[in-house]
Amino acid sequence: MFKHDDPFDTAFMRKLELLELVYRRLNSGSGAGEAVGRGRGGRTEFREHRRYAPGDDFRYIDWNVFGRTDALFVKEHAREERRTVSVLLDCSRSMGFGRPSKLVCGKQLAAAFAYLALVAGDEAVVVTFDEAVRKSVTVSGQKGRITEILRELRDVPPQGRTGLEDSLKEFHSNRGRRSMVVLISDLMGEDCRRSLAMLAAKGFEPCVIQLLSREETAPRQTGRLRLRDAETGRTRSLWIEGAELREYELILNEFIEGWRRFCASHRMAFVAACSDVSVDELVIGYLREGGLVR
Amino acid sequence: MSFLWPYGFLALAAVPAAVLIALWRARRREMPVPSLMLWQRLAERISDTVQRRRKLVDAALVLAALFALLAAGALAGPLLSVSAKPRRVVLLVIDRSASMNMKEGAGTRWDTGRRILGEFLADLPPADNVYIATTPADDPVRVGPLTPDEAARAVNAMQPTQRPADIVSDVAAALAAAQALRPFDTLVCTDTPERLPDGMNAIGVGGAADNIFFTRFASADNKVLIGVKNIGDERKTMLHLAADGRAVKKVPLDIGPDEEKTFILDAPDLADAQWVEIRIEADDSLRSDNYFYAAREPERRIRVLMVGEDNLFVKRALKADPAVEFVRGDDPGDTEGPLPYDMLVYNEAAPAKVRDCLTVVINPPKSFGHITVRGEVRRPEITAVADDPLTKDAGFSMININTARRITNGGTVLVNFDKGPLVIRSGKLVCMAFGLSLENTRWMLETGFPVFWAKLIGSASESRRPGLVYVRVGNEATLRLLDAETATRRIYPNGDPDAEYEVDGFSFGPDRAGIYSLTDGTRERTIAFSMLSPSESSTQGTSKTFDKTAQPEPAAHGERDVPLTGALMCAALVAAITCWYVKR
Repeated sequence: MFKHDDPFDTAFMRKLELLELVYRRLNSGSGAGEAVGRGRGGRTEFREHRRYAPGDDFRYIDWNVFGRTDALFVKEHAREERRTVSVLLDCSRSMGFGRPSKLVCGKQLAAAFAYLALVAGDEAVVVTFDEAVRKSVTVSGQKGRITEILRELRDVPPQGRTGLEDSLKEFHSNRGRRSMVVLISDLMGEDCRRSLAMLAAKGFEPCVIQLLSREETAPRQTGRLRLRDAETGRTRSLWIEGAELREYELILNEFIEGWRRFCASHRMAFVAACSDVSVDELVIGYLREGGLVR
Repeated sequence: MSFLWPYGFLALAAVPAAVLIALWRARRREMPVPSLMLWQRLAERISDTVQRRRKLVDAALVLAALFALLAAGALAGPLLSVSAKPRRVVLLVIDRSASMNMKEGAGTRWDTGRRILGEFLADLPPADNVYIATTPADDPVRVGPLTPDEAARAVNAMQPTQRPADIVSDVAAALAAAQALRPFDTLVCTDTPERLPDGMNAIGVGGAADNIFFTRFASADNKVLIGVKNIGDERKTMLHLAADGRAVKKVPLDIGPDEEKTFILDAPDLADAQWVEIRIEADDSLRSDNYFYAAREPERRIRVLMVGEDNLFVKRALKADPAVEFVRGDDPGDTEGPLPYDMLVYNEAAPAKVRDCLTVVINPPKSFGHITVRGEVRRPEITAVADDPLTKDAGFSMININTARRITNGGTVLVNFDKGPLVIRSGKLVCMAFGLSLENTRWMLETGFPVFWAKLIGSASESRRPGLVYVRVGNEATLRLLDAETATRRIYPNGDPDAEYEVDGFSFGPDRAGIYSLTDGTRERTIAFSMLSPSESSTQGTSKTFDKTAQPEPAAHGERDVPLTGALMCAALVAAITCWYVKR
């Protein structure tokens, strides 16, 4: 039973199922278990038998050998290294804006990416951060295990400042294995481009999803305003009228374009989206456009 | 500088309102944002424009206040006095009351006045400004400035109204309205010039002085009181008295010039009369004042008891008849002895017993006696069946019973009335029952509905009052009769407590045309109306002098008023547009 304001309500779960269908259709023709993104072919290959040890998966017991020898042997496969899809979700206080909030949208996106990774047989890692990494959940195996991620994500509140640079460094230091890294943030904080470039240089596949709320993309308030930063508490008084709003729009576009150019130059996918866009639209439309799924 | 509508300055209240709105908008509000990062960049780019914006907002506030000031000034209708060539302003006040329709000689008084006014205007210098104001005050025409030629055309296009006028107060109202024009002179065209203030120029178009007219007329019991006055030369004429339209008496009248007579005439045939009319057989040209009418109070009011739920339509129809005394109460049931009512109306209730007086039962919830009501009256057919003895004796000849089924039940004859029965005993209608619902019929909203009840009341009256009395109450004037004053009674026209008429005995002579009602505090009844007042009848053809060549006073007319409303409105518009542009 889900709460009404639950980011992972029944409607969202239906969307996940829809995403799976779409994902399978988009990737039809490829072998099962292909990783999200650039796949590398078959996953398992038989290598040898070994004696059964308690805790081994029953599915891998070779019953033919048992029939002949009365001894339990399990089949060992030459297993290709499983891919990892890491989703870094910004949970700072600035993500609490919008209707629905950027954080809700980000949670849904993170869950969708993790789900698709599980569907593809990959390992899904969801990392939440504000000033530093707050929580990390790693799940692999069947797609039903997505519930572990949902449970962890459900009650994460927006809090703290945005520490993109430190969080990316911390993630990188704890994660030796190369993986696909999806950064979901409003990018309203210190510049983290150096860390992202470093990740890309070390073989990670970073992609950036910038989430903005409507009040950021199209502010409407005019008059004498005292703007208060939700994270730092700092204020700035401005007299906003139509001309200022138009100027703000230009600045915002420059900001987004700057990120787009940076990502393009480092072969990273970049998507800027509004938090009120439906997550399935975002994943299917925006991510397909951005080359994140085929 | 003067102002046409000084109340327009009330719009100045908009100035503080505009200032308050601007200050309200300019107050600082706090707005949380996810990050100041982009706003910081904006602040760096527009740091110099913030101050400019502040100044512009101040300018917008000043412009908004200026707009409000200019708009208020424009609403006040300012007139700027500038030196100008002297130009005379002539105010014409023309009496358009009903009495101006009276025929005199070849034409009406109005025709005479129009002709004289045309001649007068043709002689005026073309540079004169003519303003026209007409009476009565409740239907005035105010036009001007016009050239004399335009004024003559305007007068030709006018017609008298059907309303009475009080020339004194109406002329005063017209003069007050024209005060701002500062007229050089005023000319009044009326048929009652003798009532105007001394020194006022007038064109009198009253009737010729060969007139005998009534000053008062009233009737009670078998007598009529007649007051006549002769302002002409003829002294002999005949008086014709009629009751309810039938001639009753004819008497000769001998009255000398300038003589006034009041006398009482016996008329035994007036016992059942509802309306009494007196007429002078005269050949004078003013025929309309040769008539006078009086309505007579019925000998005894018809008491109607309404039992059960209230019914607005029935109540209104019953109360429209001044002869009806409407009472609400409980069913008298088996009360011994005769009832103090002439008619019983049961609405949504059934009588415990059908009495001898007329009983009307509407929507009975159950059967009573032999009567069961099925269905509802939609619209009774109104076909006279005067030859039917039953309806004829009952004085009830409006229902078509030719197609209805009669039921004999002992001594009672039951006749179907549309969907309900009539009970007639010994030729007298005693009971009627029917259904009635606004959901199924609009009969209650039609004229036939009060007519139907008036017929019923007529049949309930012991005197078999013939004819329909359906008087709309709510007349132009109400006359209040104070019983405490026996020698002299006073009458106050409704809505005009300052006007007071002394009444000698039971007669009176209102000087305004219209229908009057007499009230003793609890009841009200129509009593008389008069086409012309004595003052209108006695008008002489007089005319006072108007100097068509006199020059206006330089002090009064050496300057001209230029209206500034348009200029102020334009300036206000410019201020509003600039304000909008600055705030954009």
